[in-house]
Formats: sequence, structure tokens, C-alpha cells
Amino acid sequence: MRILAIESSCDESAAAFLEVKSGRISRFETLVATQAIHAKYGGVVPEVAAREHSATLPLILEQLAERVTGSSDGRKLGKTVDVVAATRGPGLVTSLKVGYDTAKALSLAWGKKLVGVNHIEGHICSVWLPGAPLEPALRDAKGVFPALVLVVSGGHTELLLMKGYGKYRLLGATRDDAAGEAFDKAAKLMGLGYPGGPAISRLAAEGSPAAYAFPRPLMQDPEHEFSFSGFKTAVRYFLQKEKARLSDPVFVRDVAASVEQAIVDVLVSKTVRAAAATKVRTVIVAGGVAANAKLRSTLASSIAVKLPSVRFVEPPVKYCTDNAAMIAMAAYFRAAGRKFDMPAKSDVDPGWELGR
Amino acid sequence: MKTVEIKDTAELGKFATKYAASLKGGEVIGLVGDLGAGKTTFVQLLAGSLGVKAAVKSPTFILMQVLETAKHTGAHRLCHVDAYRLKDWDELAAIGFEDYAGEPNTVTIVEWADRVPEIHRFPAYKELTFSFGPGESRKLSF
Repeated sequence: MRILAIESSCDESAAAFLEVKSGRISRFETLVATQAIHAKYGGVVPEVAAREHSATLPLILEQLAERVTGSSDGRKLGKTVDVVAATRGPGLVTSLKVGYDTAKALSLAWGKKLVGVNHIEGHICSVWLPGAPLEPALRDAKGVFPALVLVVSGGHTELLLMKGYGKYRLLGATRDDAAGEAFDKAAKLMGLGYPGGPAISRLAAEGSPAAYAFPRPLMQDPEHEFSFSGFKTAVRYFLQKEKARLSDPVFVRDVAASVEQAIVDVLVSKTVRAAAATKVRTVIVAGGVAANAKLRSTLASSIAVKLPSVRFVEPPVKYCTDNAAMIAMAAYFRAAGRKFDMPAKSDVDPGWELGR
Repeated sequence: MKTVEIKDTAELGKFATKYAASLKGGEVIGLVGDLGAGKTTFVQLLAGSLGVKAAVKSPTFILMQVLETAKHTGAHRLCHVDAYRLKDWDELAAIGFEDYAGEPNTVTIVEWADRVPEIHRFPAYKELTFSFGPGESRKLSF
């Protein structure tokens, strides 16, 4: 099966081509706007790219067609693909529409099947991409499921139970801010730039994670929900008292390490508790914050100690941020289950919640 | 301008309930205040009073979310926007803000409204300013 996939749910516009033959990925090309624009103009991609999708998407598709077929003539690409896929939600309505409407139009024009993909499911499916530990075999997937999934990014923090491809049950989500947002806003309060997550991680590597005790909201709560809004306020109150010390690099590194430790502690202990309660075979972490080294290593060691029979699976770091490869992978599983969408009847769903 | 003291979340909830009762649809409400001042919490409480069933989360990353309100209230939709990551009005317009803002069936609420001063031109614009008081309290000016 050959799939063309488009992602445009928030800031990043991207496209990918994926070919799967008898449970193995045989061909794979992926492009994000940053690369396409840079290649063509050497330009800088704006921070909020929501408005840029309609300008960048044709550029990306043209370059992808060239990579896949050797020609920028889209008709050749149209003859090659079996399925056209795009993110249908959740996300920003205007951004989603650009990508999904493009996919609908291509599906109609080329006479190919359409698959609308859930963005969160895309993140989860990044663990089946090349370089990731799992292979997209449809038959012998029993060793993987049931799996517990932690999806953690700038806009999402969710725990899902995955019983098979496309079978999800939402166990809990954040009530307010996502974990990635907690990183970004703590960074902002510390006077670091946006996005703040990577900045905090860099500083944290040389700081003491036990230096300051920030709250761990809902960590001991037996339910599977998260809340990071009060955490942000606690960091604010703390920094207000210690304002003068922000010019001391040792203090800044220690605060960064303590902030990171608090967020990671909450994510890891809630994930391990949920994994034990649901008796899963596998724990999967996905989403932008899954690129955080501290989160990865703490999850790995905690699962190894507390749930030694459970396998821990993480995606390659390069597929943690928004991309279209993961959308193509998710589309493959949907298409394999004959879950197609009708171009004339289907529309974006900005509030699409997976597993509810 | 009026200022009220809000001791805790319960008091903010009471204020949000009263505020929600005054809304008919078409309003554009700007929220101003620093990180952690209570803007998103206020929107969550207001949405609850308007009968929004979906989970209301911080839209900092996603920029805008449109929520359905209960049928018995005047407005049918609550459009929740966060201008925190936006540079200027053009970016707000580019995400489709004007498709919702000021529509008679929609209550629009914008966090970090001070980042987009052009928002004042909406005839039904109102502003709520959150500031930190002593202890955990907040001051609300409107």
C-alpha cells in the first residue's frame, strides 16, 4: 500500500510518502515546511505558522512528488499512491482545513481512497516508523497489545489504553495546561525564550533536580488526569520571592532541573501506575515532550524496576515533533482496516478526542 | 472601572456564573493578566456556567477552540482564543478569528488580549484585567 499524507493541524505543515509491503516499510519520504522553505528560499519559518499552510503546502507537495517519482508533475505521484491521507483533527480549524481540503481534492481528482487521521493517533503511530522499535505487522501484533500510551506535547497530555490498531480508550487527560506548556511557561517566567522546553532541558542537565521542591499536581491521585496550571502559578510565586537570584547561573540551572524533575515525576508515576492497573504488555510514549531525554530515561528505568515484564517503546527523537510520516503510518493502519472517509461528506473535527 | 477582590477559585466561580448570566451572544471579551493570574481558570468556570460539556483546556498551543454551549443560553458557541503566541493582529485574523468574533450566536473570549490592541474596535468589546493581590487572592477590574 502506498500512502501520501499531509499534516497541518497547528504550526507545522508537512507531507510524507509511505509504502508498506507485507508488514514492512519498503519506501519512505518525509518533508516538513522548514526543510522545503529552506531549500527553496533559505528563509526562516515564522513561530506561528498557522497562516502559512496554504502558501507552503503546494511547495512541499511539489518537492515530495519530485523525490518520490523524480518529477514535480503531480499526476505521476497521483498514479503512484493508493491512499491520500491528512490530519482531520484535533487542531486549529483553519489550519486543519488547508491540509484536509487538499487531501479531499487530491483524492477526488486522482480517484484514490481518502483517510482522515487523528493527530494524536499519528503521534502514537510514530513508534512504527523506520528507526523505531516496532514493525507495522498487522498479524503478529499480539505481543504489543494491550499497550498503555502517554501522549505528551505542547497541546496534549493524555493517557490512553490501546487494545489494538485503532482501538483506544482515553483513561485521562490534562484538565488545563499540557505538560509541554508547563515547560514553556516555566521557561518564560525564568526569562528564557520560546519554545522553552528544550531551553529548560539544556540548563537542567547541569543543575540539581532536588534543589527546589516544586509541587507535583495530582501525582498521588488514583485517577489518570493531569493538571499543570497550579504548577505554573507555584513556579511564579517562587520566582517572585527569589527574583534577585535569576542573574546567578547556578540558581537558574538548579531551578530548571527542579522544574523538569517535577514535571517528569508526575508523568512517570502516573504512567507507571496506569500501566500496572491496566496490566498492559507495552508502554508507549509519544508527542513533542517525548523528545525530552530525562522523561525517556526515567520512564525506561522506572518501568524496568516496577514492571519488569512490560516493554517500553519510544519513537525516534526526530519523529516526536509534528510531522506527516506519523500521519502516513496511522493512515496505513486505518486503511488496512478499511476505514475510509468520503471526500464529499467528511470534514475536519477540531475537537476530535481519541478514545472517548 | 470596577474592581473586585477574589479570594479563591470558589469566589471566581461565583463571579463567572454572574458574568455568564449577563452574556447574550456577540460579546468579545478580552482577558488581560500575567502568567498564572487565572485567565484560563476563569474561562473554564465561565464555560461551565454556559453549559459547555467539552473539556476546556489552555489553547496556548492550539491558538483557538470553538466550544458548543447549552441550548438554553443565548449564545450557541464559545470561541476561546489565546493570543500568547501571536505577534500581532494580522496573525489573529489569519487563523480565522473574524469568522467567529462578534457573531450574534457566539461569545468570544481572548486571553492575552493586550497583545492585539486592535480588538478594541469590536463594538461589543469588554475587558477583564486580572492582577495578583495579597496571598493567593486576585484583583479583577472591568
